[in-house]
Amino acid sequence: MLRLASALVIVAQLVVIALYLRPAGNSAIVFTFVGTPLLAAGVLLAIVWVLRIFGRIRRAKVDPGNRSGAAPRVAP
Amino acid sequence: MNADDLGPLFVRPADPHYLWILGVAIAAGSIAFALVGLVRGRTSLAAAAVGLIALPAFSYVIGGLFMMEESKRVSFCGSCHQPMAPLVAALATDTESLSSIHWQRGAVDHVDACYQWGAAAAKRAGMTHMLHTITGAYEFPLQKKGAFDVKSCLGCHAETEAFRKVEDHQDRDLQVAMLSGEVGCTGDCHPAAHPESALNGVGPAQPGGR
Repeated sequence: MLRLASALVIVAQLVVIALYLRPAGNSAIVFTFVGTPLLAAGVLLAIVWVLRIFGRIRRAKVDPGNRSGAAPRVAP
Repeated sequence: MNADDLGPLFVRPADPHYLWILGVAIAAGSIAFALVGLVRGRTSLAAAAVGLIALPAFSYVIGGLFMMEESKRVSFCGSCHQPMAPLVAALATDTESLSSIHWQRGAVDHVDACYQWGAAAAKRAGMTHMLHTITGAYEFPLQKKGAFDVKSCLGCHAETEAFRKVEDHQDRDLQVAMLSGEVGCTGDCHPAAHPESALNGVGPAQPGGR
């Protein structure tokens, strides 16, 4: 998921750089109708990835199974 | 006549924009972060939040502003698709249409002459043009859609003596008809906005402006 998000973001950023270097109608159309959806998909995937990792870290902190013999402890 | 051949007095003063430098820097930073994620397949939460979410989104905000600014240019209008290019090319070559008369007399700005009235409406129209370009949903010859925008003329002419002295302009019935959109300036009393030959979408993009 992270790799896909990264790839989408890279392509979207290349599109916006193309707009900066050659501001014309064609590059504006690609920016609006190709780059923006790609970026939205990439950012959305990145957000999902971040939330999943964040949730995994939180669960690991309260899971007694991760600490041999230790009592359950809730992270502050 | 080329302005460069005439001397520095005839060259438009430079008005550079540096927004693109900021935009490229942000986009490059974002690509660097994303490359790490792409190659390694893992990254820190902070790096992902900054490099894959915050920076790319900010880069597109800057890109949107840049596009808004650039799309004011006449050359931008003629750069994109076949229908618009002849209209822009005619500005410098035609001698009878209202647009070219204004253009050649310097009565309108040579950089952003097309849409200097009503920025929001112009952008909305521009988006519609983009959609029409992609879908091919337009027909030749191009036709004016809706009532003629008299305000675009009045913005400059309403307060000039020459305009006020014209007897027809003082006719109250005509004034009401014009303001209601019933009667327009072009095509009725004054020449058409663009030459008919430019409404058929032929010829390469040769912008008359920058």
